[in-house]
Amino acid sequence: MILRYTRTDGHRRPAAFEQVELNDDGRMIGWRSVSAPAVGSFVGDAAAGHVTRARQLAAAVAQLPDPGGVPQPVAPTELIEVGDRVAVSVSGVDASADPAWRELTELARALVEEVVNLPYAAVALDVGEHVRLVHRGPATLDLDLSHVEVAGSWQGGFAGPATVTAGPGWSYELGIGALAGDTDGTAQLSVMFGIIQGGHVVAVEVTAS
Amino acid sequence: MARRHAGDAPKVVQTGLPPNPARVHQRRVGGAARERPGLAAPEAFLTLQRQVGNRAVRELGVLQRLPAPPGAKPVLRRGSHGEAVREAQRKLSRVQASALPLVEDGQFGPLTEAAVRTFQTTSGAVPTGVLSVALWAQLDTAFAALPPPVRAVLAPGTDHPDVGFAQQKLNAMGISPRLVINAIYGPDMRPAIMLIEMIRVRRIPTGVIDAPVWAELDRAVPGGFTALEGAGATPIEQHTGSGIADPRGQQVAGTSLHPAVGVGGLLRGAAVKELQQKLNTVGAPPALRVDGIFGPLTTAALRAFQTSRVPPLVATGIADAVTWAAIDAAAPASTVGFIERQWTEELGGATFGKTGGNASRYAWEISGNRMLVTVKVNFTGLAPIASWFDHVPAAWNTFKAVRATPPARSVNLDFRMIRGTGGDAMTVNVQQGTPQDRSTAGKWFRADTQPAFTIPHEFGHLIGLQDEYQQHAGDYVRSTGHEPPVGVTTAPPGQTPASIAQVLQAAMVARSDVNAFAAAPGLGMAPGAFAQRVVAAYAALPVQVVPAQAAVPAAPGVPAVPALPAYPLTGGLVRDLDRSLPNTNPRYDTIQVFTYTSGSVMGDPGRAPDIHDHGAAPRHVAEFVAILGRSQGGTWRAVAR
Repeated sequence: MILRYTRTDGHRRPAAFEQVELNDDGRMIGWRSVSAPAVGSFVGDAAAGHVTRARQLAAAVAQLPDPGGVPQPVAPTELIEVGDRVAVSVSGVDASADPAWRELTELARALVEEVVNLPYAAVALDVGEHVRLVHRGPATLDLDLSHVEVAGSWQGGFAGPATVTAGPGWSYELGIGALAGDTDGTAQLSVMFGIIQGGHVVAVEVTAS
Repeated sequence: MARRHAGDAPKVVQTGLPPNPARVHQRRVGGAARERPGLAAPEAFLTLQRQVGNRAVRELGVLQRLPAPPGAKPVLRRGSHGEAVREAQRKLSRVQASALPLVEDGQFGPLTEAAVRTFQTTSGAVPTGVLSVALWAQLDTAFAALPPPVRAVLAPGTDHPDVGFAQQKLNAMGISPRLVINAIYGPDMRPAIMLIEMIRVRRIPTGVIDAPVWAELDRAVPGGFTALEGAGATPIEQHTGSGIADPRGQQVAGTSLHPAVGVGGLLRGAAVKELQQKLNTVGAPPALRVDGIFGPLTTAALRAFQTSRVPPLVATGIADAVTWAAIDAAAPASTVGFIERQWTEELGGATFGKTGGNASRYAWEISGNRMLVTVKVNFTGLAPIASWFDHVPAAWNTFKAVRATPPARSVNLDFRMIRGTGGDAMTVNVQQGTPQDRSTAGKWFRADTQPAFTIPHEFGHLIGLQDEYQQHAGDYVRSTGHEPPVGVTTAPPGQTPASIAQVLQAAMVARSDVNAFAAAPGLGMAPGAFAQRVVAAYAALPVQVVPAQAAVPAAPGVPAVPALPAYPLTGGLVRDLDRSLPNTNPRYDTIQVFTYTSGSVMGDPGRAPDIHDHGAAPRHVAEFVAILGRSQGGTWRAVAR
């Protein structure tokens, strides 16, 4: 493993749990709980340039002490692991931090955004003529749709099946009508539901605009 | 008054002066203690004095205060605003004329008008919705006729909500060390009660808090009871004021409130104007033009100032922290200025702050009857939403500063947020986010559905204010100026503080946020006195070590488990919860139970609504009121406008 980056935030609902692991072969494995356009798990190759740079930066910070710094109120928890080193908080990394830590943190944040384009067992929000939850990726995942909440340009809730297995080709129409634009005229929709992971329901939020 | 009771009470109490412990000893030995058999030994008096604190003695000495003469009450109607409206709202709510408890926001809106109509109807008046002078008199009469709070008689060892109110009052009177608001009459508060019995009630101390003791406590510190408000008789805990609030974040030690001005620092703007004004005050020849441009004349004047000090400062021509300290000492006042505040806060057991390049930076300028505070923000990422700039004055331009001492004067305190770049600007990253996102100090979300609250809250951070939620008691008192509420005093069925503390500790050792949640909020626990008993029970547990967590690599479809080091628990419950548990909703909810949260603009009114501490409060603008005092002279205070 070159690096693993985990960002969590229990201050918001649902909580954010965003993670990406970059392995030596350049393959990324990720998890997104609060994301656009998809949530769930993701697998795929990172851009070659990112892999090379991540390897260099991981080697550089291996010689450095933890970055320290004071996170701004109420910044999420951000952890980075490189090599065999235990997780290091990078929540307070700013312009005053060592450049290697700073760049590694920025790269990790970029990777966790990049990985969302590589769905493995994920659910996206399709805001077409009908608003649907749509499966993405080659693998299945189990969902809890017993408490579906919609926020943004349309607000409401649905009670769907408590357990449903979503695989390739699966979609679920939410029965949402016309969307209202926000103050800037942009329509945005967020749907909250659950992904069943390891026997537990993980609350997630998928967004589309 | 003092002479009449001179033989009963220690003289030091009557003077209101800070007592010299040795003299207190002598006088008490020769006074009350000698005349009344059965009183505590002289050493015990010293103990009492130490425990109750000098401030308490001073408070007790000035209990007999004449009420201030009532001022003329203005006629209030829909659209009225200000302090008088706040007072009317408080009284209408307490006499239960309002349908629901009225939020004291100082704005006479439809709910206040409806309450006035109801009060008029019940008073036999025509329901006009206008609070006339005559109706004010009736309202004042009705309010004054409200029965005093019913106080329980409390013996040592009692477990009762009123103990919590007594603890609040003793804290407010300055007992040292502070009492935990746990609503249990413990040995830590008994000496203070006995002292009150001796020097105020003038009786042989029993340690019982009965009507005479309550009378003294209530006279010394108003508030601290539960009142029924609104027509539905909603029980609302009334705040107990406790000292002077300071809602600013803790300034980082060794930092200056001035940015460096000159080469390598700021070269334009309010900080330069402040420097120029102050150099003029100390006699810069020739007088500088206060144009906010750091040019050769300002540099020369600054160098001259530096070399004129005894001993001389290095004539760098740069206003660094040392030079600013000398300038401030020589010329404390100006009508324009700039503050760069590096600060930290503890929230939910973790440390946050605005430090280094993220420090709070704000300019102020007094002109005529207006003081304008300006925050310049360099927005990165997406464009900010135009309405954000309106949310700031809507929430913050609600106070004026008034000087009571002649010549009386009133200055509006105005706040604004502008876009800009440079060394005097702060950076805020703008992202789209989702409707569930709430902006944070450094990141604002366009999709935030509550910007009318969150933007003024984040603006508060930009002017150096800290969060007022998930605080420990000490920070809560300091930042809000009132005691932590008594809150919930009862245990969940079948639980004790020790049993909950043990489950919490086990949950932390296992790093299980779900188990921790199940042990506290999952049992229906809410913030307050019982939760503080759990905090104390946890602190008494043998220390455990949270074992290291080995990494479990990610697999397709399964997230990784991070590698975390072993961690010895500290006995501090909130900090241990923060460090031991993953940052999830269950952890957040668990920490919420064991901390305190205000309902103000810097608090979390969604979780802790508070009709009495709502929106921006005078404490939040106190820094600027103090600046006005230095600049314009006299004593100022902030009032709603």
